[in-house]
Formats: sequence, structure tokens, C-alpha cells
Amino acid sequence: MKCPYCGAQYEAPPGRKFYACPYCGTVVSEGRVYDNVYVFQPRVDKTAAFKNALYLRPTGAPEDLPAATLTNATLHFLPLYLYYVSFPPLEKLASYAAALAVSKPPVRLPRRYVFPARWRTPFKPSLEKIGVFHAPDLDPEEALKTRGDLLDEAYAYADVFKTRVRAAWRLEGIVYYPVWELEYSYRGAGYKAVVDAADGSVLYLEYPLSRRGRAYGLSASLAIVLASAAFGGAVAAALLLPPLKGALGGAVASLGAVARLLAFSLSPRGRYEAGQRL
Amino acid sequence: MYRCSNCGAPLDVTPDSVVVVCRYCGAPNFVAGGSGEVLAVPTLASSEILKRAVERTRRDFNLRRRMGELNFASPELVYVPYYFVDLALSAAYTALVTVTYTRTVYVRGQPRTRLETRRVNVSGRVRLAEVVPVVARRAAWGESLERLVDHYFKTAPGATALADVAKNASTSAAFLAAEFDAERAKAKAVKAALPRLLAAVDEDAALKARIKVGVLTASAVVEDKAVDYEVERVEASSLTYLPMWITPYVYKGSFYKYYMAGWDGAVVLAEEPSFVENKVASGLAAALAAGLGGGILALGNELVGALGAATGAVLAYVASGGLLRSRRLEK
Repeated sequence: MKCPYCGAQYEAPPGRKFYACPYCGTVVSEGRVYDNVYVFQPRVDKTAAFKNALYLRPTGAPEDLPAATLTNATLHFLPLYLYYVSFPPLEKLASYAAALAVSKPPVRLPRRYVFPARWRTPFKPSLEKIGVFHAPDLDPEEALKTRGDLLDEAYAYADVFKTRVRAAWRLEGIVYYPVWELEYSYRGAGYKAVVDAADGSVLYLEYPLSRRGRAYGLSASLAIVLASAAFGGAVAAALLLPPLKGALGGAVASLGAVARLLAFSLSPRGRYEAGQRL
Repeated sequence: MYRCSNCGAPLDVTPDSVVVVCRYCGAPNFVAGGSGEVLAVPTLASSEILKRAVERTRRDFNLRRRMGELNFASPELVYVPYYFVDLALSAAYTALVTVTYTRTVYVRGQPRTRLETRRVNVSGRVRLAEVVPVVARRAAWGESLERLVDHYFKTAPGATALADVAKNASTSAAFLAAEFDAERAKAKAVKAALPRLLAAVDEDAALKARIKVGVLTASAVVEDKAVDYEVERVEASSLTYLPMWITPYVYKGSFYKYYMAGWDGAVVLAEEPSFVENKVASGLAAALAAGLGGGILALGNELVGALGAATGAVLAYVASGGLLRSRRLEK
């Protein structure tokens, strides 16, 4: 296949609906060219991304984790559809919206992940292969359904003004978001990490659990059972009830917390997943 | 390519940009058409922000005893665009409410409690007036922005014309482009306010139904309602930029961040390492919850005991999460 935008030649396995140029990200689908392409500038190189991951210091990671070696790094460009959504007759409500265009992202993303719109710069084609541009595989209409929040907002507004609106949309182009997939080795075993290449935040990290980390989990679970039993006994005694029964109740009620700590200490490796965005 | 209407420099424009501040001269450009005033809150200088960050750390319970191990990096400024939507909505409603209460009746001189249920129709009108802050970005990144605007409402710093604030290149480069206009901001504000208005309708209907039945302690559930909205006022402010500084610090090789309000240097959100004392506190909280809840089992009353133990177990499970976290947020 020859890219209609940058002219590069690339392999195009047959039977796919969408093809993305590996050099500039221009998408071709059934004779249609999506050359309106925007790329979030990767601002973090693989060394910096790796450093962010190793210095995250999640609970139970060995002190010398920063001594691990990077074995593989891939820069993925995840495609998002960019839409212009309007609500006639309330034309002023129109706005842009983006939705992930792949059904299965190549890397693990946190649930309900919001792609930050900060460092975006318009697309500048280059003939240097800087990363893997992933081709969309979702139908644009289907992908837009994940953005129900946008429609709800417009309908709520129209409802208050007693106006009936309908949603109309057109596809504006493709936005690529860069994500580092890193593989590293620590004392002979391999682990994975995912780092946002636009802002450097660590999205996902697998890490070895140190002996000390495991011992911490085990001793914390033991301490919680004992302390819960002690508190339970004290509560029962204060209510002039048999303290032994109270102690037993306290120990039973602590089992959920204990199971959580034990699951951590006994799992083969530690896992960190980014939570809320700050 | 878009060029700045004031100095002619190229602008960083994406399809969804509405207002772009020129990174060279600081002039606002309405790239999607329209015009208007753009305001900004002036910020303290970077050195002053750093000083406030250090001062805050000296006061912090956990961090002050580890001052020697902390290193601050230079703060980064971001100017975030907001609209403030002044909103007044009213809702006229009719609702069907089920009221349940207990009544004591005497059957052959013996008192008996009976559960009574009545369904009543009520109607009324409630009003909601508030100022809703809306970040003019499609993908706003959460917590710190909400804290920033809360702090803005609390301290009410004055905003001036953008030209007085974006005077040099280092400041003008910090302005994020606004990604939607005032109309879209109004829609967002209405959407945010509607659930609160509907909750007020439910509350009002429940109260009216209790009064109608004559039992103020009764439980009342709104079964069905019809609401007619009326917009009394919906006005968006000028686009207003608030300064936020992100000040990173390093502790044992890891980065943590302070999110600070630019006008007074207050830390609105602080990311901190989870230290031994925080973990001990989480562990104690978990044990206390399990102990208190589980101790109730000794009562012998199966239902109350099981309920107590289950509540304790859930709380303990949640609290034990603190033992596994390596970072925490201080608000």
C-alpha cells in the first residue's frame, strides 16, 4: 500500500477495514482517506518513562528496583476518533469529542481512562518511524456510543429550554495518543510497565515483591487479626457480655481485610494501577 | 496556519480550540469566531511559590520531620480556563408520594402498633440558584482543578484583563486553550445542576406529603413525579483563567507533587508518600472497625450481631487498603 498522504510504502495485510500508515498515521478505509491526523507529542523518552516507573516505589517493591534493566520499549500510538457533534436546532451546543477507536487497546489502560488533552500539537509528518501507529477497528458510530455523557448533557440542556434536539455528528479526523509499553528484567525475571508518553505518568506497573514486602503483608495481617480480637473482646466486656465471644466476632470481622493483605503478600508479583487523575 | 491577530506569530491550534492565548505576546485569539473579554487572576512569582511550598512542608505533620530528605524541583505554571455560570432554575412539580408511619391502636384495651401506608398527591415549586464553575476543557484532569476552584470561591481574588497578566513569554506559554464556548459551558452547568434541582423536588414533595398526612416523622418515598422547568437566569461569565502551580519534590528518588493556587500560594492538593505512621493508622482503623463491629456478635441477637460484624468487616476491608498504598493525598 502506498500512503496517499506521505507517499510511504507499507505492507497491508488483506481483509482489514482500516489501515494506518506506520510513518504518519494517515488512515485509509474502504477508499476513504482520513488525512486529518493529530498527534499528541510524546514528551517523555523511554529512559525517562522507565525511570518514572522504577522510582514509583509501590508498596513491597525492593529497594534496589531502580537497578533493573530495560529489555524492550515500544511506543504505541493509540487512535482516537475526533468528532464534531452538533445538536440542531441549538447550533451553539456543538462541540468536538474524542473516543477510543480500538476495541482492544494493545496495552493495559486503567478503567475509565481519560486521555488528557494537554500537550497536543497538530500533526507534522515525518519519515522517521517513531512508534507503532495502531489502526482503528471500531466503527466510528459505535465508538461514539461510549461518549453518552456528551449527549446526556445536550439533552438535559434542551429539556430545560423545552426544545427538542437531535444529535448529528461528523468525523473530523484521527488523534493519536502515545503510550510507552516497557519490559524490564530484575534478577532474571521479566516485568511490564505502561507509561503515558505525553505526560510521563505511570499507568500500570508489574514489579517484584521483596521478601521484606511480603513479610510486611503477613505481619500486618497477623497484627490486624490480633488487634481486632482484642478490640472485640474489649467491646463485649464493656457491654458486660462474654469477652471471648466478642474477641471471636472481632477476629471474624477482620477476615476480609486479612484476605486482602494475604492476597498481596502471596501473589507472585506486585501490581500497581493508576487510580484517579490529579 | 493560524497566526496571532496581534503579533503574527504562529498559534498552536487544534480543531477544538476556541480561545488560544498567543505564547509570544499573550493576546487572546478567538479562533472559532466570536469575541469577548478574557480575564485572568494574577499569580505570584515562581520563587515565591517555591517559598510557600517549603513553608507548607515545614508545617506538615508527616513531612516536617523529614525535611532533610526532601528536595524541591522548580514549579510549573498552568493557567486553566474556567467559565462561571450563574444559574437560577425553578421546577414546578406534581408528585405521588407514599407515606409510611406507625400508629398505635387499642384493641380491647390492649395497645397494638400498626404500619399504615398512604399515597398522597402533592404539588409545589422549588428554586435553585447557584454559581457553577465549568472548566473549559474537554478532558479536564480532575481533583486538583476542583480544589483550585473551591479555593477560588473561598478566597475570591480579583481577576483583571488578560493583557495585564500575560505580559511575558514565560507566563503566556502557560495558558491552556479553551476548548468550548460559553454556550457549551451553560449546558454543562445545567447538566450539573439538574440532579440537585430534582433532589430538592423530592425533598420538598416528601415534606409536603408528611404535612398532609399529619405525621412529620413518617418515611416518605416519591413514587412518580412530573416536573416543568423554568429557566430564570443562565449567564456565563467571561472566560476566566486561574493560575495553578505544580511543584514537584523528590523523596528517596520518587517524585510527588503539590498543586498550588497561584494567587496566594496555598496548597490545594498535596501528594505525599505513605509513611510508617500512616500505615499504622490505617491498620489501627481496620482493627478498630472489625473489633467494634465484630464485638456486637457477643450480644447473642443474631440479626443485630450479623449486621454489626458485616459493617465492621466492610469498613476494615476498606481501611486495610491504606496499608497497601504507597502514596496518599492530603487536601
